[in-house]
Amino acid sequence: MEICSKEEVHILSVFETIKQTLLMQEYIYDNLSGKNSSATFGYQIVADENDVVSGENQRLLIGATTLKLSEIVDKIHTLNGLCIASHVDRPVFGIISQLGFIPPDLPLDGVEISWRIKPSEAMKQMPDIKRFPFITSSDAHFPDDIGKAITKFFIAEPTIDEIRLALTEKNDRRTEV
Amino acid sequence: MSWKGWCKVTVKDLVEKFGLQTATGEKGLDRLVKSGYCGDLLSDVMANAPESCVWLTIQSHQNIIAVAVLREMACIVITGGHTPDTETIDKAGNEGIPLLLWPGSGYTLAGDIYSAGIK
Repeated sequence: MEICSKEEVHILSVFETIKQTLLMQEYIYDNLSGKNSSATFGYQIVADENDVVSGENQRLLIGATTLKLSEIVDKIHTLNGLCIASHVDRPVFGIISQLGFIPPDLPLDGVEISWRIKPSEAMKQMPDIKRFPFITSSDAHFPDDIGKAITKFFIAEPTIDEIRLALTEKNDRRTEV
Repeated sequence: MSWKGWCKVTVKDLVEKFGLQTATGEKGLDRLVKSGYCGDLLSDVMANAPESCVWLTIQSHQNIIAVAVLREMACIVITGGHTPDTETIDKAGNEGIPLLLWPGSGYTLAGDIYSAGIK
């Protein structure tokens, strides 16, 4: 789930189970106001795995929550999820554009570099991100964008603990972009 | 009353003239205010805010204090009725940066300060 903090910083949360994800969703919904205007922001269709539409989400999902960045990071970790700062190279909604620099005491599990820039170039422009593991991904907001950029994880099984090991390059686990 | 022609306007003058609330940083009230800046994207403010400015923002994250120190600003005004985070108030107090609050929109306050002669 990609979450927008009250500072308008976008943060990715990654969970192992639907139960954890729904708990996070409940926390977000409790702190997200507004109703979507489909004419302005598009339809927010709810569909199942067979693309059968079951309804429409009425909440203003494009809006920012009233939660501080640090509160969101804490909640993700309380639910044993991973917390990755979205598209840190982007001129808007990235942690560096919004806050100037990454708060030194913010315990992120990694940063996401968008598909628009080479990781080496991003690190040259923003040396501060070198202290975090990084991934690249597509920031897909439309189905066709899924897979536009990928990160390979060399892990024993698809679990959050294994992904965490790969991000921190422990026990021979690693990532490759 | 306008400050046009004045050479020395302090943060305290701003506080008194516009009825700003002081959240913390009283010891910096004697700082001189020479210009102003508006912005909520801290990357932009870090790059462009002038020295000794009054900075109007709705951003309340503690990073605003580091930005104000870096740019050697006179003070920060959090506008729009937004309230600073606790850590932000603590950091401003430690750094002696006046952190001021204004319930109305940044637009009107910026206009008033500009009209008063801070350009």
